Amino acid sequence: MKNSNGKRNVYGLLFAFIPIMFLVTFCFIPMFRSFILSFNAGKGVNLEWGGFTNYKRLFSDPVLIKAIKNTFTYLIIQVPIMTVLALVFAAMLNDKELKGKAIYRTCLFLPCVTSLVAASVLFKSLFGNRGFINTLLSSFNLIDSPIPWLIDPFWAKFVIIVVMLWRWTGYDMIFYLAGMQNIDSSIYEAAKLDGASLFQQFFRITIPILKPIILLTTIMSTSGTLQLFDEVATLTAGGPNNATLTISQYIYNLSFKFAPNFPYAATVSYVILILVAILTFIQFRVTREKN
Amino acid sequence: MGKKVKEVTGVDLMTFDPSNTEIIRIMMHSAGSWYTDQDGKPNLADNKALKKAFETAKEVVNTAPITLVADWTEFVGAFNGGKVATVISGCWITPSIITEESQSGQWRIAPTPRMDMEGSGNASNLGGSSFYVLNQENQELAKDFITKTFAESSELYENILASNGIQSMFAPAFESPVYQEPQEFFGGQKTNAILGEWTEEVPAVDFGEYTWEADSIVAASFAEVTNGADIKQTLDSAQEQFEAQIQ
Repeated sequence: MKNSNGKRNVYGLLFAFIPIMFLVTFCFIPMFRSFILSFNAGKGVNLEWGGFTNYKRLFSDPVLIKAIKNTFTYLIIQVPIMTVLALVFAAMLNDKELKGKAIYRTCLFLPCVTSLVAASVLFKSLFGNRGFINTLLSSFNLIDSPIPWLIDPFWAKFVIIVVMLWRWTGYDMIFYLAGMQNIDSSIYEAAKLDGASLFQQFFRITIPILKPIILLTTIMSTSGTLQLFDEVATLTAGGPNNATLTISQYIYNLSFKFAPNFPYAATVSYVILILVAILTFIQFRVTREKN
Repeated sequence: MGKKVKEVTGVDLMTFDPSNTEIIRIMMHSAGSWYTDQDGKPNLADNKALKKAFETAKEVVNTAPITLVADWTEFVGAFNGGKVATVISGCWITPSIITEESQSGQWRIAPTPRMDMEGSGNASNLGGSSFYVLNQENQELAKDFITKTFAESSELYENILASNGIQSMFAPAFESPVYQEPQEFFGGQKTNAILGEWTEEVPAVDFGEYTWEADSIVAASFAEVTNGADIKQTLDSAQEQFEAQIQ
Protein backbone atom coordinates (compact mmCIF):
# COMPACT_ATOMS: atom_id res chain seq x y z
CA MET A 1 0.00 0.00 0.00
CA LYS A 2 2.69 2.39 1.00
CA ASN A 3 4.65 1.61 -2.13
CA SER A 4 1.85 2.32 -4.59
CA ASN A 5 0.97 5.58 -2.83
CA GLY A 6 4.62 6.58 -2.78
CA LYS A 7 4.98 5.80 -6.47
CA ARG A 8 1.94 7.94 -7.33
CA ASN A 9 3.39 10.81 -5.34
CA VAL A 10 6.71 10.54 -7.10
CA TYR A 11 5.11 10.54 -10.54
CA GLY A 12 2.92 13.44 -9.52
CA LEU A 13 5.91 15.43 -8.42
CA LEU A 14 7.82 14.57 -11.57
CA PHE A 15 4.99 15.79 -13.78
CA ALA A 16 4.68 18.97 -11.83
CA PHE A 17 8.42 19.52 -11.73
CA ILE A 18 8.85 20.64 -15.33
CA PRO A 19 6.13 23.33 -15.34
CA ILE A 20 7.38 24.50 -11.96
CA MET A 21 10.89 24.83 -13.37
CA PHE A 22 9.57 26.83 -16.30
CA LEU A 23 7.57 29.04 -13.97
CA VAL A 24 10.51 29.68 -11.72
CA THR A 25 12.98 30.33 -14.56
CA PHE A 26 10.82 32.50 -16.75
CA CYS A 27 8.58 34.13 -14.20
CA PHE A 28 9.90 34.28 -10.66
CA ILE A 29 13.61 34.67 -11.29
CA PRO A 30 13.06 37.59 -13.73
CA MET A 31 10.70 39.18 -11.20
CA PHE A 32 13.36 38.95 -8.55
CA ARG A 33 16.08 40.27 -10.85
CA SER A 34 13.83 43.10 -11.90
CA PHE A 35 13.45 43.97 -8.24
CA ILE A 36 17.23 44.08 -7.88
CA LEU A 37 17.44 46.13 -11.10
CA SER A 38 15.13 48.74 -9.65
CA PHE A 39 17.80 49.51 -7.07
CA ASN A 40 20.37 50.25 -9.75
CA ALA A 41 20.82 53.44 -11.72
CA GLY A 42 22.24 54.27 -15.11
CA LYS A 43 21.60 54.19 -18.84
CA GLY A 44 21.64 51.19 -21.14
CA VAL A 45 24.16 48.68 -19.91
CA ASN A 46 26.10 51.07 -17.70
CA LEU A 47 24.57 50.21 -14.34
CA GLU A 48 25.69 50.97 -10.84
CA TRP A 49 24.08 50.75 -7.40
CA GLY A 50 21.56 53.55 -6.84
CA GLY A 51 19.76 52.63 -3.66
CA PHE A 52 16.36 54.21 -3.35
CA THR A 53 16.90 56.99 -5.93
CA ASN A 54 14.47 55.45 -8.39
CA TYR A 55 11.80 55.02 -5.75
CA LYS A 56 12.21 58.60 -4.63
CA ARG A 57 11.92 59.75 -8.21
CA LEU A 58 8.52 58.05 -8.55
CA PHE A 59 6.86 60.67 -6.39
CA SER A 60 8.11 63.70 -8.26
CA ASP A 61 7.71 62.41 -11.79
CA PRO A 62 4.90 64.36 -13.47
CA VAL A 63 4.67 61.98 -16.43
CA LEU A 64 4.21 58.99 -14.13
CA ILE A 65 1.54 60.79 -12.16
CA LYS A 66 -0.25 61.61 -15.41
CA ALA A 67 0.01 57.99 -16.51
CA ILE A 68 -1.42 56.78 -13.22
CA LYS A 69 -4.29 59.26 -13.45
CA ASN A 70 -5.07 58.15 -17.00
CA THR A 71 -4.91 54.46 -16.11
CA PHE A 72 -7.23 54.97 -13.16
CA THR A 73 -9.66 56.93 -15.31
CA TYR A 74 -9.85 53.98 -17.65
CA LEU A 75 -10.24 51.62 -14.71
CA ILE A 76 -13.02 53.49 -12.96
CA ILE A 77 -15.07 54.09 -16.08
CA GLN A 78 -14.44 51.00 -18.09
CA VAL A 79 -14.60 48.12 -15.60
CA PRO A 80 -18.07 48.86 -14.15
CA ILE A 81 -19.59 49.55 -17.56
CA MET A 82 -18.08 46.40 -18.98
CA THR A 83 -19.24 44.23 -16.09
CA VAL A 84 -22.80 45.52 -16.31
CA LEU A 85 -22.93 45.23 -20.09
CA ALA A 86 -21.52 41.71 -19.99
CA LEU A 87 -24.08 40.69 -17.36
CA VAL A 88 -26.92 42.13 -19.41
CA PHE A 89 -25.77 40.41 -22.59
CA ALA A 90 -25.28 37.13 -20.77
CA ALA A 91 -28.77 37.38 -19.26
CA MET A 92 -30.24 38.07 -22.68
CA LEU A 93 -28.38 35.19 -24.24
CA ASN A 94 -29.40 32.86 -21.47
CA ASP A 95 -32.99 33.03 -22.55
CA LYS A 96 -34.03 29.61 -23.75
CA GLU A 97 -36.45 30.97 -26.32
CA LEU A 98 -34.07 33.32 -28.11
CA LYS A 99 -33.48 32.38 -31.74
CA GLY A 100 -30.01 32.64 -33.23
CA LYS A 101 -28.26 32.56 -29.85
CA ALA A 102 -25.13 31.05 -31.32
CA ILE A 103 -24.77 33.87 -33.84
CA TYR A 104 -25.12 36.61 -31.21
CA ARG A 105 -22.71 34.83 -28.92
CA THR A 106 -20.11 34.53 -31.68
CA CYS A 107 -20.53 38.16 -32.71
CA LEU A 108 -20.06 39.35 -29.17
CA PHE A 109 -17.05 37.15 -28.52
CA LEU A 110 -15.30 37.69 -31.86
CA PRO A 111 -13.72 41.05 -30.95
CA CYS A 112 -11.49 39.46 -28.31
CA VAL A 113 -9.92 37.10 -30.78
CA THR A 114 -9.39 39.55 -33.61
CA SER A 115 -5.91 40.81 -34.29
CA LEU A 116 -5.38 43.84 -32.09
CA VAL A 117 -3.32 45.76 -34.62
CA ALA A 118 -5.82 45.16 -37.42
CA ALA A 119 -8.66 46.29 -35.18
CA SER A 120 -6.74 49.40 -34.12
CA VAL A 121 -5.96 50.42 -37.68
CA LEU A 122 -9.63 50.08 -38.48
CA PHE A 123 -10.74 52.10 -35.48
CA LYS A 124 -8.17 54.75 -36.27
CA SER A 125 -9.68 55.26 -39.68
CA LEU A 126 -13.24 55.08 -38.33
CA PHE A 127 -12.53 57.82 -35.82
CA GLY A 128 -10.35 59.94 -38.11
CA ASN A 129 -11.25 63.52 -38.94
CA ARG A 130 -12.91 62.49 -42.17
CA GLY A 131 -13.75 59.02 -40.88
CA PHE A 132 -16.98 57.12 -40.89
CA ILE A 133 -18.15 58.22 -37.44
CA ASN A 134 -17.79 61.93 -38.20
CA THR A 135 -19.45 61.50 -41.56
CA LEU A 136 -22.34 59.64 -39.94
CA LEU A 137 -22.77 62.22 -37.20
CA SER A 138 -22.75 65.14 -39.61
CA SER A 139 -25.18 63.50 -41.99
CA PHE A 140 -27.62 63.29 -39.09
CA ASN A 141 -26.81 66.92 -38.31
CA LEU A 142 -25.74 66.02 -34.80
CA ILE A 143 -22.48 67.94 -34.99
CA ASP A 144 -21.43 71.16 -36.72
CA SER A 145 -17.81 70.35 -37.43
CA PRO A 146 -15.96 67.03 -37.28
CA ILE A 147 -14.98 66.01 -33.77
CA PRO A 148 -11.20 65.56 -33.53
CA TRP A 149 -11.54 62.18 -31.84
CA LEU A 150 -7.90 61.24 -31.68
CA ILE A 151 -6.44 64.72 -31.36
CA ASP A 152 -8.46 66.03 -28.45
CA PRO A 153 -7.35 64.80 -24.99
CA PHE A 154 -10.88 64.10 -23.78
CA TRP A 155 -12.18 62.37 -26.88
CA ALA A 156 -9.02 60.31 -27.25
CA LYS A 157 -9.69 58.77 -23.83
CA PHE A 158 -13.29 58.22 -24.86
CA VAL A 159 -12.19 56.34 -27.98
CA ILE A 160 -9.81 54.16 -25.97
CA ILE A 161 -12.59 53.25 -23.55
CA VAL A 162 -14.97 52.46 -26.39
CA VAL A 163 -12.41 50.22 -28.08
CA MET A 164 -11.69 48.41 -24.82
CA LEU A 165 -15.39 47.85 -24.21
CA TRP A 166 -15.82 46.58 -27.75
CA ARG A 167 -12.96 44.19 -27.32
CA TRP A 168 -13.41 42.73 -23.86
CA THR A 169 -17.12 42.70 -23.09
CA GLY A 170 -17.54 39.40 -24.92
CA TYR A 171 -14.83 37.86 -22.83
CA ASP A 172 -16.55 38.61 -19.53
CA MET A 173 -19.88 37.70 -21.04
CA ILE A 174 -18.76 34.14 -21.74
CA PHE A 175 -17.81 33.69 -18.10
CA TYR A 176 -21.17 34.93 -16.90
CA LEU A 177 -23.04 32.87 -19.46
CA ALA A 178 -21.28 29.72 -18.31
CA GLY A 179 -22.11 30.59 -14.72
CA MET A 180 -25.73 31.30 -15.50
CA GLN A 181 -26.18 28.09 -17.38
CA ASN A 182 -25.17 26.26 -14.26
CA ILE A 183 -27.98 27.75 -12.27
CA ASP A 184 -30.85 25.33 -11.80
CA SER A 185 -33.94 26.59 -13.60
CA SER A 186 -36.14 25.33 -10.78
CA ILE A 187 -35.02 28.30 -8.69
CA TYR A 188 -36.38 30.68 -11.32
CA GLU A 189 -39.62 28.71 -11.56
CA ALA A 190 -40.10 28.87 -7.84
CA ALA A 191 -39.44 32.60 -7.89
CA LYS A 192 -41.92 33.13 -10.70
CA LEU A 193 -44.55 31.23 -8.72
CA ASP A 194 -43.88 33.55 -5.80
CA GLY A 195 -44.55 36.50 -8.10
CA ALA A 196 -41.05 37.82 -8.61
CA SER A 197 -40.59 40.08 -11.66
CA LEU A 198 -37.73 39.61 -14.12
CA PHE A 199 -35.76 42.40 -12.48
CA GLN A 200 -36.16 40.90 -9.06
CA GLN A 201 -35.11 37.51 -10.36
CA PHE A 202 -32.04 39.05 -11.88
CA PHE A 203 -30.95 41.01 -8.85
CA ARG A 204 -31.97 38.61 -6.11
CA ILE A 205 -31.09 35.27 -7.68
CA THR A 206 -28.72 35.57 -10.63
CA ILE A 207 -26.27 38.11 -9.28
CA PRO A 208 -25.73 36.62 -5.83
CA ILE A 209 -25.15 33.18 -7.32
CA LEU A 210 -22.73 34.63 -9.85
CA LYS A 211 -20.83 36.60 -7.23
CA PRO A 212 -17.65 34.50 -7.27
CA ILE A 213 -17.51 34.73 -11.07
CA ILE A 214 -18.15 38.47 -10.99
CA LEU A 215 -15.34 38.82 -8.47
CA LEU A 216 -13.03 36.82 -10.72
CA THR A 217 -13.80 38.90 -13.80
CA THR A 218 -13.49 42.22 -12.01
CA ILE A 219 -10.10 41.21 -10.64
CA MET A 220 -8.99 40.12 -14.12
CA SER A 221 -10.34 43.33 -15.65
CA THR A 222 -8.69 45.49 -13.02
CA SER A 223 -5.37 43.76 -13.44
CA GLY A 224 -5.69 43.91 -17.23
CA THR A 225 -6.67 47.58 -17.31
CA LEU A 226 -3.86 48.60 -14.99
CA GLN A 227 -1.43 46.91 -17.35
CA LEU A 228 -3.11 48.34 -20.46
CA PHE A 229 -0.69 48.87 -23.31
CA ASP A 230 -1.78 47.46 -26.66
CA GLU A 231 -4.86 49.52 -27.42
CA VAL A 232 -3.27 52.79 -26.35
CA ALA A 233 0.03 52.23 -28.12
CA THR A 234 -1.59 51.40 -31.42
CA LEU A 235 -4.48 53.86 -31.39
CA THR A 236 -3.01 57.03 -30.00
CA ALA A 237 0.61 56.22 -29.06
CA GLY A 238 0.07 57.85 -25.68
CA GLY A 239 -2.42 60.33 -26.93
CA PRO A 240 -2.16 63.96 -27.76
CA ASN A 241 0.79 64.71 -25.50
CA ASN A 242 0.42 62.04 -22.85
CA ALA A 243 -3.32 62.48 -22.51
CA THR A 244 -3.90 58.76 -22.93
CA LEU A 245 -0.55 57.52 -21.67
CA THR A 246 -0.76 54.42 -19.49
CA ILE A 247 1.77 53.17 -16.95
CA SER A 248 2.82 50.25 -19.14
CA GLN A 249 3.38 52.54 -22.06
CA TYR A 250 5.49 54.80 -19.92
CA ILE A 251 7.62 51.78 -19.04
CA TYR A 252 7.98 51.07 -22.74
CA ASN A 253 8.97 54.67 -23.45
CA LEU A 254 11.52 54.65 -20.63
CA SER A 255 13.07 51.44 -21.90
CA PHE A 256 12.99 51.83 -25.66
CA LYS A 257 12.00 55.27 -26.81
CA PHE A 258 13.97 57.52 -24.50
CA ALA A 259 17.60 56.91 -23.60
CA PRO A 260 17.14 53.46 -22.02
CA ASN A 261 16.68 53.74 -18.28
CA PHE A 262 15.96 50.13 -17.35
CA PRO A 263 16.31 50.50 -13.58
CA TYR A 264 13.70 53.25 -13.42
CA ALA A 265 11.44 51.30 -15.78
CA ALA A 266 11.72 48.30 -13.44
CA THR A 267 10.75 50.54 -10.55
CA VAL A 268 7.65 51.77 -12.37
CA SER A 269 6.67 48.19 -13.15
CA TYR A 270 6.72 47.45 -9.44
CA VAL A 271 4.34 50.35 -9.01
CA ILE A 272 1.87 48.45 -11.17
CA LEU A 273 2.43 45.33 -9.10
CA ILE A 274 1.69 47.17 -5.87
CA LEU A 275 -1.41 48.85 -7.31
CA VAL A 276 -2.82 45.57 -8.61
CA ALA A 277 -2.11 43.87 -5.29
CA ILE A 278 -3.84 46.61 -3.30
CA LEU A 279 -6.91 46.70 -5.54
CA THR A 280 -7.25 42.93 -5.59
CA PHE A 281 -7.03 42.83 -1.83
CA ILE A 282 -9.72 45.48 -1.52
CA GLN A 283 -11.98 43.61 -3.92
CA PHE A 284 -11.63 40.39 -1.96
CA ARG A 285 -12.32 42.20 1.27
CA VAL A 286 -15.45 43.94 0.03
CA THR A 287 -17.08 40.75 -1.18
CA ARG A 288 -16.20 38.85 1.93
CA GLU A 289 -17.84 41.46 4.15
CA LYS A 290 -21.05 41.34 2.13
CA ASN A 291 -21.31 37.63 2.80
CA MET B 1 0.39 83.78 -46.91
CA GLY B 2 -1.84 80.99 -45.71
CA LYS B 3 -4.90 83.17 -46.04
CA LYS B 4 -3.98 84.08 -49.62
CA VAL B 5 -3.54 80.43 -50.48
CA LYS B 6 -6.96 79.64 -49.10
CA GLU B 7 -8.52 82.49 -51.05
CA VAL B 8 -6.95 81.52 -54.32
CA THR B 9 -7.11 77.76 -54.14
CA GLY B 10 -9.70 76.97 -51.51
CA VAL B 11 -7.48 74.47 -49.72
CA ASP B 12 -5.63 74.76 -46.44
CA LEU B 13 -2.01 75.79 -46.28
CA MET B 14 -0.56 72.74 -44.57
CA THR B 15 -1.22 69.96 -42.12
CA PHE B 16 -0.46 70.05 -38.43
CA ASP B 17 -0.20 67.09 -36.08
CA PRO B 18 -0.48 68.38 -32.52
CA SER B 19 1.47 65.52 -31.04
CA ASN B 20 4.62 65.90 -33.08
CA THR B 21 7.17 68.63 -33.12
CA GLU B 22 8.34 68.44 -36.73
CA ILE B 23 7.90 72.09 -37.64
CA ILE B 24 9.42 73.16 -34.33
CA ARG B 25 12.45 71.00 -34.93
CA ILE B 26 12.82 72.21 -38.50
CA MET B 27 12.75 75.82 -37.35
CA MET B 28 15.09 75.27 -34.43
CA HIS B 29 17.62 73.39 -36.52
CA SER B 30 17.55 76.00 -39.27
CA ALA B 31 18.83 78.44 -36.69
CA GLY B 32 21.61 76.10 -35.60
CA SER B 33 20.26 75.07 -32.24
CA TRP B 34 18.78 71.95 -30.57
CA TYR B 35 17.17 70.75 -27.34
CA THR B 36 20.57 70.27 -25.68
CA ASP B 37 23.54 72.57 -25.89
CA GLN B 38 27.13 71.68 -26.86
CA ASP B 39 27.80 70.08 -23.46
CA GLY B 40 24.71 67.94 -23.66
CA LYS B 41 22.86 69.97 -21.03
CA PRO B 42 19.16 70.73 -21.42
CA ASN B 43 18.71 73.91 -23.38
CA LEU B 44 15.04 74.80 -23.42
CA ALA B 45 14.52 77.81 -21.20
CA ASP B 46 17.21 80.05 -22.68
CA ASN B 47 16.99 78.74 -26.19
CA LYS B 48 16.29 81.77 -28.43
CA ALA B 49 15.76 79.62 -31.50
CA LEU B 50 13.24 77.42 -29.72
CA LYS B 51 11.40 80.43 -28.36
CA LYS B 52 11.20 81.98 -31.82
CA ALA B 53 10.08 78.68 -33.26
CA PHE B 54 7.28 78.52 -30.69
CA GLU B 55 6.16 82.06 -31.46
CA THR B 56 6.16 81.51 -35.20
CA ALA B 57 4.48 78.12 -35.02
CA LYS B 58 1.84 79.42 -32.61
CA GLU B 59 0.93 82.16 -35.05
CA VAL B 60 0.69 79.71 -37.90
CA VAL B 61 -1.38 77.19 -35.98
CA ASN B 62 -3.76 79.74 -34.55
CA THR B 63 -4.28 82.04 -37.50
CA ALA B 64 -3.45 80.28 -40.74
CA PRO B 65 -5.88 77.82 -42.30
CA ILE B 66 -4.41 74.42 -41.53
CA THR B 67 -5.70 70.87 -41.43
CA LEU B 68 -5.33 69.01 -38.17
CA VAL B 69 -4.17 65.44 -38.56
CA ALA B 70 -3.74 62.66 -36.04
CA ASP B 71 -1.17 60.36 -37.60
CA TRP B 72 0.91 59.44 -40.63
CA THR B 73 -1.97 58.04 -42.66
CA GLU B 74 -4.02 61.21 -42.35
CA PHE B 75 -0.93 63.31 -42.99
CA VAL B 76 -0.14 61.60 -46.30
CA GLY B 77 -3.82 61.40 -47.19
CA ALA B 78 -4.10 65.16 -46.82
CA PHE B 79 -1.59 66.12 -49.47
CA ASN B 80 -2.23 63.12 -51.70
CA GLY B 81 -5.89 63.99 -51.70
CA GLY B 82 -5.20 67.62 -52.55
CA LYS B 83 -6.58 68.89 -49.26
CA VAL B 84 -3.50 70.93 -48.37
CA ALA B 85 -1.32 73.05 -50.55
CA THR B 86 2.12 72.55 -49.01
CA VAL B 87 4.15 70.04 -47.06
CA ILE B 88 7.00 71.25 -44.87
CA SER B 89 9.10 68.20 -44.19
CA GLY B 90 12.35 66.41 -44.88
CA CYS B 91 13.05 65.56 -48.52
CA TRP B 92 12.28 61.94 -47.62
CA ILE B 93 8.65 62.87 -48.06
CA THR B 94 9.18 63.01 -51.83
CA PRO B 95 8.30 59.34 -52.48
CA SER B 96 5.02 59.81 -50.60
CA ILE B 97 4.21 62.81 -52.76
CA ILE B 98 5.19 61.05 -55.98
CA THR B 99 2.89 58.07 -55.36
CA GLU B 100 -0.05 60.29 -56.19
CA GLU B 101 0.51 60.25 -59.93
CA SER B 102 -2.47 62.41 -60.74
CA GLN B 103 -0.63 65.37 -59.23
CA SER B 104 2.40 65.05 -61.48
CA GLY B 105 3.69 68.36 -62.73
CA GLN B 106 1.84 70.34 -60.07
CA TRP B 107 4.41 70.21 -57.28
CA ARG B 108 7.61 72.21 -56.88
CA ILE B 109 10.18 72.32 -54.13
CA ALA B 110 10.93 75.56 -52.32
CA PRO B 111 13.31 76.55 -49.51
CA THR B 112 12.15 76.24 -45.89
CA PRO B 113 10.81 79.58 -44.71
CA ARG B 114 13.31 81.50 -42.62
CA MET B 115 12.60 82.60 -39.08
CA ASP B 116 12.61 86.27 -38.27
CA MET B 117 15.81 86.30 -36.25
CA GLU B 118 19.55 86.56 -36.60
CA GLY B 119 21.42 83.42 -37.56
CA SER B 120 18.41 81.78 -39.07
CA GLY B 121 18.68 80.23 -42.49
CA ASN B 122 16.49 78.69 -45.14
CA ALA B 123 17.71 75.17 -44.71
CA SER B 124 17.25 72.48 -42.12
CA ASN B 125 17.43 68.78 -41.50
CA LEU B 126 14.54 66.62 -40.32
CA GLY B 127 16.00 63.21 -39.75
CA GLY B 128 16.56 60.62 -42.40
CA SER B 129 19.51 58.30 -41.93
CA SER B 130 22.74 59.16 -40.22
CA PHE B 131 25.98 57.36 -39.56
CA TYR B 132 27.32 56.99 -36.08
CA VAL B 133 30.68 55.44 -35.27
CA LEU B 134 30.49 53.88 -31.82
CA ASN B 135 33.20 54.45 -29.30
CA GLN B 136 34.27 50.82 -29.04
CA GLU B 137 36.92 48.47 -30.38
CA ASN B 138 37.40 48.38 -34.14
CA GLN B 139 36.60 52.05 -34.17
CA GLU B 140 39.42 52.69 -36.59
CA LEU B 141 38.14 49.98 -38.90
CA ALA B 142 34.66 51.45 -38.86
CA LYS B 143 35.95 54.96 -39.51
CA ASP B 144 38.05 53.67 -42.37
CA PHE B 145 35.05 51.94 -43.94
CA ILE B 146 32.88 55.00 -43.71
CA THR B 147 35.63 57.21 -45.08
CA LYS B 148 36.34 55.04 -48.07
CA THR B 149 32.70 54.57 -49.02
CA PHE B 150 30.36 57.29 -47.85
CA ALA B 151 32.90 60.02 -47.36
CA GLU B 152 34.83 59.70 -50.59
CA SER B 153 32.92 57.87 -53.28
CA SER B 154 30.73 59.97 -55.54
CA GLU B 155 29.98 56.84 -57.49
CA LEU B 156 28.23 55.30 -54.48
CA TYR B 157 25.93 58.28 -54.20
CA GLU B 158 25.12 58.29 -57.88
CA ASN B 159 24.18 54.63 -57.69
CA ILE B 160 21.92 54.97 -54.70
CA LEU B 161 20.18 58.00 -56.14
CA ALA B 162 19.46 56.27 -59.41
CA SER B 163 18.32 53.01 -57.91
CA ASN B 164 16.70 54.03 -54.61
CA GLY B 165 16.10 57.76 -54.78
CA ILE B 166 18.34 58.43 -51.80
CA GLN B 167 19.30 62.06 -51.41
CA SER B 168 22.57 62.57 -49.65
CA MET B 169 24.67 65.31 -48.13
CA PHE B 170 27.91 64.57 -49.98
CA ALA B 171 28.84 67.76 -51.77
CA PRO B 172 31.11 66.46 -54.58
CA ALA B 173 28.38 64.10 -55.74
CA PHE B 174 26.11 66.98 -56.67
CA GLU B 175 28.15 67.77 -59.76
CA SER B 176 27.37 64.42 -61.29
CA PRO B 177 24.78 64.13 -64.09
CA VAL B 178 22.52 61.84 -62.08
CA TYR B 179 21.92 64.61 -59.61
CA GLN B 180 21.45 67.20 -62.31
CA GLU B 181 18.56 65.38 -63.99
CA PRO B 182 15.28 67.28 -64.18
CA GLN B 183 12.42 65.59 -62.35
CA GLU B 184 9.24 65.28 -64.39
CA PHE B 185 6.94 65.08 -61.40
CA PHE B 186 8.17 68.46 -60.29
CA GLY B 187 7.64 70.05 -63.67
CA GLY B 188 11.25 69.70 -64.77
CA GLN B 189 12.75 71.18 -61.62
CA LYS B 190 16.18 69.72 -60.91
CA THR B 191 15.09 68.82 -57.40
CA ASN B 192 18.06 66.68 -56.46
CA ALA B 193 20.54 69.31 -57.53
CA ILE B 194 18.65 72.04 -55.71
CA LEU B 195 18.42 69.94 -52.56
CA GLY B 196 22.14 69.38 -52.87
CA GLU B 197 22.78 73.13 -52.86
CA TRP B 198 20.64 73.57 -49.81
CA THR B 199 22.37 70.78 -47.88
CA GLU B 200 25.43 72.99 -47.78
CA GLU B 201 23.42 75.59 -45.89
CA VAL B 202 22.15 73.28 -43.13
CA PRO B 203 23.81 74.22 -39.85
CA ALA B 204 25.68 71.42 -38.10
CA VAL B 205 23.97 70.55 -34.84
CA ASP B 206 24.89 68.13 -32.05
CA PHE B 207 21.77 66.16 -31.20
CA GLY B 208 22.90 64.89 -27.82
CA GLU B 209 21.48 61.79 -26.12
CA TYR B 210 18.07 62.93 -24.98
CA THR B 211 16.19 64.09 -28.05
CA TRP B 212 13.11 61.93 -27.46
CA GLU B 213 12.63 62.95 -23.84
CA ALA B 214 12.88 66.61 -24.81
CA ASP B 215 10.68 66.05 -27.82
CA SER B 216 7.83 64.64 -25.79
CA ILE B 217 8.07 67.49 -23.28
CA VAL B 218 8.31 70.13 -26.00
CA ALA B 219 5.28 68.72 -27.82
CA ALA B 220 3.22 68.98 -24.64
CA SER B 221 4.56 72.50 -24.01
CA PHE B 222 3.68 73.62 -27.50
CA ALA B 223 0.14 72.35 -27.03
CA GLU B 224 -0.13 74.52 -23.93
CA VAL B 225 1.26 77.50 -25.80
CA THR B 226 -1.27 77.20 -28.63
CA ASN B 227 -3.96 77.21 -25.97
CA GLY B 228 -2.72 80.52 -24.64
CA ALA B 229 -0.01 79.77 -22.07
CA ASP B 230 2.87 82.20 -21.74
CA ILE B 231 5.84 81.04 -23.81
CA LYS B 232 8.55 81.96 -21.32
CA GLN B 233 6.84 80.26 -18.39
CA THR B 234 6.10 77.15 -20.42
CA LEU B 235 9.70 76.87 -21.61
CA ASP B 236 11.02 77.38 -18.07
CA SER B 237 8.81 74.60 -16.75
CA ALA B 238 9.77 72.43 -19.73
CA GLN B 239 13.42 72.93 -18.82
CA GLU B 240 12.74 71.71 -15.29
CA GLN B 241 10.83 68.70 -16.54
CA PHE B 242 13.58 67.86 -19.00
CA GLU B 243 16.25 68.05 -16.30
CA ALA B 244 14.17 65.79 -14.06
CA GLN B 245 13.47 63.33 -16.85
CA ILE B 246 17.09 62.67 -17.70
CA GLN B 247 18.49 62.08 -14.25
